Amino acid sequence: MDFALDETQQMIRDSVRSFVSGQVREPAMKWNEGHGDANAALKELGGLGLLGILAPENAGGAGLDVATLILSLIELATGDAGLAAMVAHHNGPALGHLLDADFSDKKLLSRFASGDALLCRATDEGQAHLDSATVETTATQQPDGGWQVSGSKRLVPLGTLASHAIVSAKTLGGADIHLLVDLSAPGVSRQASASLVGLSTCDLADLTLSEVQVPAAMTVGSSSRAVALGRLTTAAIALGVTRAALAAGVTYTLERKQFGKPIARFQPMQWQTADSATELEAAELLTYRAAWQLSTGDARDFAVEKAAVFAMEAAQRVADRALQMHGGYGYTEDFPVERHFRDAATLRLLTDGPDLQRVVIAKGLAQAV
Amino acid sequence: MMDFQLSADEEQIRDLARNYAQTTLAERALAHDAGAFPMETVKELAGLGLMGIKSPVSFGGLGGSNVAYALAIREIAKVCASTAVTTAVTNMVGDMLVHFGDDGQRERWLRPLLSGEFAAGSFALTEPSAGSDAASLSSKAVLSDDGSYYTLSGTKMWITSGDVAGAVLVMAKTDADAGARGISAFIVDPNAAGFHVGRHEQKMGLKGSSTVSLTFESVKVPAADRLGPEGIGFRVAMTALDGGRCGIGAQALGIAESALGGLLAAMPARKADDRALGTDQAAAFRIADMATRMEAAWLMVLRACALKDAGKVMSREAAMAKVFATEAAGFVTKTAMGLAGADGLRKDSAIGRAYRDARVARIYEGTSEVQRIVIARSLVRGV
Ligand SMILES: Cc1cc2nc3c(=O)[nH]c(=O)nc-3n(C[C@H](O)[C@H](O)[C@H](O)COP(=O)(O)OP(=O)(O)OC[C@H]3O[C@@H](n4cnc5c(N)ncnc54)[C@H](O)[C@@H]3O)c2cc1C
Repeated sequence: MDFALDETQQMIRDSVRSFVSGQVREPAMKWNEGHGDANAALKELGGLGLLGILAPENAGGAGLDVATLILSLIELATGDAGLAAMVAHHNGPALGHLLDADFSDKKLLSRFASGDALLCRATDEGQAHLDSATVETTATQQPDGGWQVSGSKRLVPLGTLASHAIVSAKTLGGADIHLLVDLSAPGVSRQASASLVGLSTCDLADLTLSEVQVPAAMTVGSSSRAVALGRLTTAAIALGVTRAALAAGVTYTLERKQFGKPIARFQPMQWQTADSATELEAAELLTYRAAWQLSTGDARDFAVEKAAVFAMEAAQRVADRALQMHGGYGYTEDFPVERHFRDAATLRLLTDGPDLQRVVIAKGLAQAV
Repeated sequence: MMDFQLSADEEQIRDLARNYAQTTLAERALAHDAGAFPMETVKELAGLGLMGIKSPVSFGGLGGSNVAYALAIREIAKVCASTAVTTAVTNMVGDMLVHFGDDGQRERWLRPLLSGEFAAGSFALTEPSAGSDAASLSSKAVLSDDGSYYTLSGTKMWITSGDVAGAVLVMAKTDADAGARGISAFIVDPNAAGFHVGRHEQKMGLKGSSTVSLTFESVKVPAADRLGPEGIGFRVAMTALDGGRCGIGAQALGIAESALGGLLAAMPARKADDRALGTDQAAAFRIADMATRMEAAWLMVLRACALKDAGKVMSREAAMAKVFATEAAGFVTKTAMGLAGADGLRKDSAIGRAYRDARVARIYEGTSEVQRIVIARSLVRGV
């Protein structure tokens, strides 16, 4: 076993880390509210090659592994989870899907891999329960072999910025199909989603497709890897939030004095720090193991789901504790912890929620018996 | 014999608050969440007597019990947590005037507080470096040579309604060497020279309540405005917080109720799919846990109130009720966020608002850690 990062992983992680301390952490304190505030940083990240991490070099990408993607996302999310969510979505479930399905239009692929164009994956249709992923969008085959797509999708990451969307739909025969839809095509309308509790800098849109014509060549195969990447990149964002919240809590308790001493000396603060640090470590190891599996082949033993469930929930606990450690100050926008607290609770919109993933783990284990 | 029945008066006060909250206040709650102070609302609440729920009818109050108070705050918080905290703090200041004030002070301060002539009352204990350790506060009040007035100086922080209040209850040291026993309480007129309102805190929730710092730059406070004798200021504050903590418990449960309500309201839409409630145990079990914890917490709040109504010491029970109810609200709002659909995750949805509003309840009027210290200390000392 070897828990060390290789040279490339280390180099990319360090460069993202310095980008975050230079261009994200401070500005993010003011991005808090504004839609679009992180878009310039997103563009710069494209320039650094971070929008085509998994794409092979001959396809215009950086040709790096899943572990490197995960490490980059953790760093980004320590600065701003909404920004990290956009980078994660483009690289992971969206572009990861095209790569896995061996999409044939290499020219288009290289536009996404180079970051010249952004790609999103539109699956959720906004049912009362986010986890009920029933697809009502329809795809009707046309005489020329192409498809006509109608339906609506909600809370699509990168939905207003992306040039294309991978849209999930059902054929008349009830089969699942994925189509790459040009979002400037007639019949597509998109609107920024209403502000959510957290992830306020993440571009989100509600899409409506009415009788949109999609050429047959834009059919995309299914991809279980896209689903796994959606889950694991969300775990990575959760980890970044966790790490930032823990650090903020520790720093604050060392500085703040009550009853004549730093509050870090009080046991309740120490327990909260120790529990948070332990949970961070566990979440990191689960996530790294899953990333290692996906870097070297397919995921096994539900490592991805275990990591995602644990990391997403740990982020909420750790952010909650960090806010508590700040007392009244934690409730204000002067400190980042209130944002971590909101972001952690909103992460589940990026992928299946922990409850659904628990069911996936349990059903999988039952099958293995 | 035990009695879980509300009195007719208690039901009446609850219904008064409920009717107002469900109609007029409900229409404004979103505007308050967008940052508008509920000026019109607080005046109307005063008109209904709800700014002095426990205060004597002769002064414009409702003469209600502590139980009635918790019922009313919960009803208001269910619709607008910001209005609930503004109302709770004004009530608390009025209660202290009733409890520790003399007739002259009640005429001068209580009457306008309850009639709505004053938009609100404020309670100013916390300072930038005296939060949980409130007794270490450093604002000071120095008596003039002729004994007619005090000169007040210092800075307070996190003062709810501090910019709109007509009366501010300020805790300050009159004897710097006597620790908590050197603290006295004053009713300060915000129009006095040297009374400055500082910046407004930008908060995650409770956006319709105003939270400001106050600076006293040699403010002259007439000796007649000292509440009770010198040296009892900390006792005034702790008495206020015993009642206040029941109010915060009730507020937190009102917020939790709105989150659970938001979740349940979205349920019928799910009937069609096979994850609907009943077969979806993830939702069903969590909803059951949410409601059960809320119920237990509510009984604790009511018991603390009932003890106070019976004239008993209830600091421990109030602390227990506060920590249990506010942590229940934390659990309920977090769980609701985990079950919410796309609409429930919106910042301005019932669940989204509740998640942001509930969080502060574990911090103000004594953090959860402070409540546990109060509980353990009282057990160890056997009181
Ligand atoms: C929205 C809002 C409204 C408020 N309104 C008012 C108001 O109207 N009037 C007023 O006077 N105050 C008000 N407050 C202040 C509030 O009561 C304080 O924030 C609270 O008492 C905590 O103090 P602090 O913020 O300084 O936190 P700190 O005391 O600095 O606490 C930081 C952390 O250290 C922990 N801690 C501190 N001491 C100990 C210890 N001995 N053992 C273990 N843990 C410890 C705390 O529990 C907390 O987790 C308000 C606050 C807010 C946020």
